[in-house]
Amino acid sequence: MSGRLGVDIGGTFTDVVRLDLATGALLSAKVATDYADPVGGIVAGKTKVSTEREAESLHHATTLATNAILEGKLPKGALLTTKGFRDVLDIGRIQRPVEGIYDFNIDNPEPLIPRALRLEVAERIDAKGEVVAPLDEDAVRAVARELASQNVKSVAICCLFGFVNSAHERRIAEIVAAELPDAEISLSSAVSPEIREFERASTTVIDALLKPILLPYVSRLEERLGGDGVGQVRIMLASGGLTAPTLAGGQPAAMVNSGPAAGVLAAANLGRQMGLDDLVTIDMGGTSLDIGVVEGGRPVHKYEGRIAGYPLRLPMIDVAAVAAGGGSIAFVDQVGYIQVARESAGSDPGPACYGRGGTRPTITDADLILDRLGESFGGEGGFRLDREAAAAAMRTEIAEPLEIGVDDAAAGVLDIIQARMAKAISANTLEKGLDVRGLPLVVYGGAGPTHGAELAESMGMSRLVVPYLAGNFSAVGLLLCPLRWDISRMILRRIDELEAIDLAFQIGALDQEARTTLDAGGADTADLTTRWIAHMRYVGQSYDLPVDLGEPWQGELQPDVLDELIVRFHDLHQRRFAYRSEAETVELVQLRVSVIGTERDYPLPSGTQQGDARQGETRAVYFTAHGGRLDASVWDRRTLPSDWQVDGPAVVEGEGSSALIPPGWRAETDEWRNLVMTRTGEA
Amino acid sequence: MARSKNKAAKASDVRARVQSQVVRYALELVAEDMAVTLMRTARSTVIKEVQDLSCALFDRDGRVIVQSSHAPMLLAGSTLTMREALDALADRPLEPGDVIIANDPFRGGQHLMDVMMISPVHLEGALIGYVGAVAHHSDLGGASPGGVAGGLRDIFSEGLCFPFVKLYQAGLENRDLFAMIENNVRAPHKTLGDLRAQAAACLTGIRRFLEVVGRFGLKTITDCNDMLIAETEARLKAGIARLPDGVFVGEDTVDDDGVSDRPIPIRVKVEKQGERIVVDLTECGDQVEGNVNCPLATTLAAVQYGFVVALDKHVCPNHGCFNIIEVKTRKGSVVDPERPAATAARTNVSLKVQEATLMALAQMLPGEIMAPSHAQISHVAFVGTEPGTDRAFIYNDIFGGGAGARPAKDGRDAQDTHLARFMNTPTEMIEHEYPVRVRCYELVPDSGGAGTYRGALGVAREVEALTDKVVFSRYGDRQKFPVKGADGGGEGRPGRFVLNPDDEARSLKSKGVDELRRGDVVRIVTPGGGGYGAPSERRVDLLADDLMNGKITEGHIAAEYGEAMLDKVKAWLAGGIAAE
Repeated sequence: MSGRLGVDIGGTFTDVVRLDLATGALLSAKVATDYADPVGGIVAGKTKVSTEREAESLHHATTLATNAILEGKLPKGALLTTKGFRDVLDIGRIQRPVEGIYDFNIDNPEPLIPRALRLEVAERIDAKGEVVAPLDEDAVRAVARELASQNVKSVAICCLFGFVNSAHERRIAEIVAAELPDAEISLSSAVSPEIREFERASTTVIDALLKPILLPYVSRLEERLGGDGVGQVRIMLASGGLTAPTLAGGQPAAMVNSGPAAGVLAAANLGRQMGLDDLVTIDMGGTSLDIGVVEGGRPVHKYEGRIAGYPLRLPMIDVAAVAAGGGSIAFVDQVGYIQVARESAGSDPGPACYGRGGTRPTITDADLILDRLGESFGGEGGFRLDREAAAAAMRTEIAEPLEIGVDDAAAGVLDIIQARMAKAISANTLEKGLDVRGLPLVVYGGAGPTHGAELAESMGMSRLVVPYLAGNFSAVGLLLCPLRWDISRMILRRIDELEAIDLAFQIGALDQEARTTLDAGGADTADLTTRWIAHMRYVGQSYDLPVDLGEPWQGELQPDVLDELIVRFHDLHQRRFAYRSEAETVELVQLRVSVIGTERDYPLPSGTQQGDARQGETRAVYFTAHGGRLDASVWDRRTLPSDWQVDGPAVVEGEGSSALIPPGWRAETDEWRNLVMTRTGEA
Repeated sequence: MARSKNKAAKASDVRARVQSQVVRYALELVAEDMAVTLMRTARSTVIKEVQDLSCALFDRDGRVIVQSSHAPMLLAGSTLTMREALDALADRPLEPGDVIIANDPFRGGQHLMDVMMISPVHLEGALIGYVGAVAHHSDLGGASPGGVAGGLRDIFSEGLCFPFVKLYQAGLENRDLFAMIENNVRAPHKTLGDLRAQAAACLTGIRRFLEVVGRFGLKTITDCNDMLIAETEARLKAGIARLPDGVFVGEDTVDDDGVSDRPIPIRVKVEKQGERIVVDLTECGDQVEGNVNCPLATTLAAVQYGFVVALDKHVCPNHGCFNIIEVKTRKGSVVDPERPAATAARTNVSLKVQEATLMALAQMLPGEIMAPSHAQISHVAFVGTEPGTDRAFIYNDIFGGGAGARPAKDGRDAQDTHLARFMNTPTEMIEHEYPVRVRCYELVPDSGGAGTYRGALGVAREVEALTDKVVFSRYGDRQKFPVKGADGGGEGRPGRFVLNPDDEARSLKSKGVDELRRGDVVRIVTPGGGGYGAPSERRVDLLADDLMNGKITEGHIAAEYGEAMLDKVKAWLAGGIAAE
């Protein structure tokens, strides 16, 4: 019973890691995701990492929620809303996506609920929460009957100003529940109790539509794993914490993008152990590059994101996805320029070198052609990469049309994708007011380590960390995550109208509610810490800043807490926006409370790796910054002892990735078996 | 031997092209960094959230190399502004750390609210290029905030107009100029804050530009600049090569200028002969008394945008656009007005120039261009005093309308299109801040043009005044002349402003000022987009879907698609329901 399992179900692979709680030993496995029976896939994957059937616990992230939205495989749902406002979901904020500026075929997505199922009821509450028009209950009943006849599986309820006064939403829910006893219901006042009706409705609708998928999934998961010797099942949320399966299933919008969040959390945790408090993370897989930022030892959070173009307003670890991965497809455009498409070959057919029928050249093909990847890249249980197929695709699609050599074609493809990735990473950190230069880059995902050092160099970064289990890093993060539940309340009042005691009362109530929720969900609520933040702004501003005084909630507040909040807000505003305006009135927009359990430290492997590092053949590897091939020593990652070092050009292969050490860089292994690279000089 | 030499030359050519792309990304990041700095440090929502701004890098001759991807409306403006700037500054060389401010609509500017700043970039004492940042300001003094009110008749009533003067000298603020501005605007902390943010963007741009030069070397940057301009030209030329020779005309009409009721003709004549393209706008109407006059920079942006989206969406929007597409205008016309024309509501002309350009191109590229869109912006303001206080409130709002249908799909309802890029204000934010009640915010059924593919629906919002003496000022358009369809598609329905729609409804002028009493309701209806292709070719299931979703009515189907089609739709629905 001393093992803890982390299972991250991705679109292509299911990653399983096992932490021996006694020794700190980490084992990992990758199995193909079983779409027909994902839970069965977990049970199968579990046997791959250990012969021990029992496990203390299993921590789980899944892309099931994300994929259901991306692929549009959602159940039939309805939206009930205030009369006059059913089109809010369609109109949105009006602004088309930035990709559509010069391409009139690119749109914001159509609403997840069609207009015919967005129904209005007469009722109106004003900005102060006062009822301007009473709820027409007969109308609600009639609408609910209509929905029942249409076999609707779930209902989202979003009334204007429902976050100020939720009485109408709750009454509508009662009537709907009576008429449609089997339908799932989500209330905007519970899912996202914040101002701005479009973002709130969008989040509520996503939540409602995911429930009929995720609720049965988590209960099946808990039941089958319980029967298979697993003590406790915990589900990852995008906020960076775990919760009980029934709670997660009851608010499934919070499960969207939880896997990538676990990766950033693991990087932050590892960084703290290594004494690196600020860093940038990149996770490069087959289809996307996920970028995260860690500041002061904690992942940067955001409070609104998007999934498939739909706003999702919940607290989440900030992960920005860019369409650039190993499977990204290269082509020559009509005027003879090499381009890399947003489109990915995915896993099926995958890059040409997978030998599954892909004929269009990808980044992975370019890496293989230029010997940046070995042919046996997949490792044990993996597969041999087909060099001929890669070269043939590159020749037909790029080299021949341009009348150049295959190597030159592949080199051009890499230059372009790396420049695009570097721009995306730099731009993303700039938006947070950070300069990437001087920060370390933590690199993981199957394709990340191959490009990490070159990317870092082009961005002016000089330190790189490739964790030991870089290919399964998000699953490792799952092992460490604390229990967590987030809850918030809209305040929207000038801070000079508030008293410390009001604030304390509100925080106390939210804290109690969060703990009660966790408790009711069957989670162990001992050893929980409560943190709170206040979202603040100058009156009239349309955006706010999260102010954290840093002190955990202990049941009371100092009398001068409001003054302290104001000072912190001015300081934070100065830091983020380069000015402060002390003459202006400050408004407290939102209070947010998180109850958080204990995060486990990144495991230090017991004992050191014995024996000599195994060196393979030297091979001529292409390095982008050098612009040509260099003889590089090739090493087997699994055999590297903990005080090993090598100067580039070199390649370290194994554990699901191939890490390139360019000339001018030195790589060392540390006590966590990380590969730490430092730039030592000009190449 | 000759063959392998050829191959080596090809390889070097491809390497140079790849290099230019790598440099393009690096330079675009500089422009993005400028934009982020500007958004981060600015005060007003229109810059911070709506992102109505653009940042650009220029070479030493003032040619645009790259721009940040924000507002396409500002596309060509910077090229023209820079040309005028170099003229104006010919005898006053710029020193490192200087920042020039300009917004003169008659010398390369857009309209007064779009303020441009330019700074030189020096390397070891030698000028190597410029950086520029343009941003939309909310107020620069004048007769009404942001020049929103219809009926303003000259530029003097619209606000401060900066010739090319130094706002910063050698990195230091020109305090006299700042004091002058501060004394003439309604919310000085916002305006000055936004101006400082723009200057900060320029200074960031200089630093970052020099870093990129340091990384690649000046020679590489200079070579790549030439290549990037040449690439844009090559892309546009390749696109133009697909166009047939001949003269193709696109036409649209602006309702009026808000002073008189006279319609204003917009006529775009595209003349193609071999490799040469001339876009002749000389037959557009004369400049008008009202504020819809469209300065030349915006006119050029409208034409260039049309060509970029029609020919190659991968075009890097730089000086190459300027070289390839020759635009002829007539001084004193509504698309190239002369001082002292009022220009605040120029979008109501520029969007129609852009639509007419696309209409001409659609004839040259059959089946490739979307149907015309609403091509107007309705800007409304409700101004009054908060009840029980003496605090003034100003509720500003902007409305787009329906986009045209695409050659293979319907228009996406109620989203911004083409040159126009903005964001709405949420109902809850409006009611939280202002003494008004929003009674509905909804799509307008039947407003999109009929067709094989349907034009997008317009939107409507009803606003009730909760206090007396609320001044409703606005400018809108497309309330008289509907949006055309394409390739046999039907017209979109015009917009309108209605007072008290439920009770003695009365139509209001598209551009004007009225006073509301407590309880008065204004219904703002925006136009729908044009349809694409013959209505008779529309799939029955798409019509049934629209009918079920209340986006069209039975009456509309009968009128636009025919009674026979309505019967088919009903039969389909009956069958569909039976099948379930």
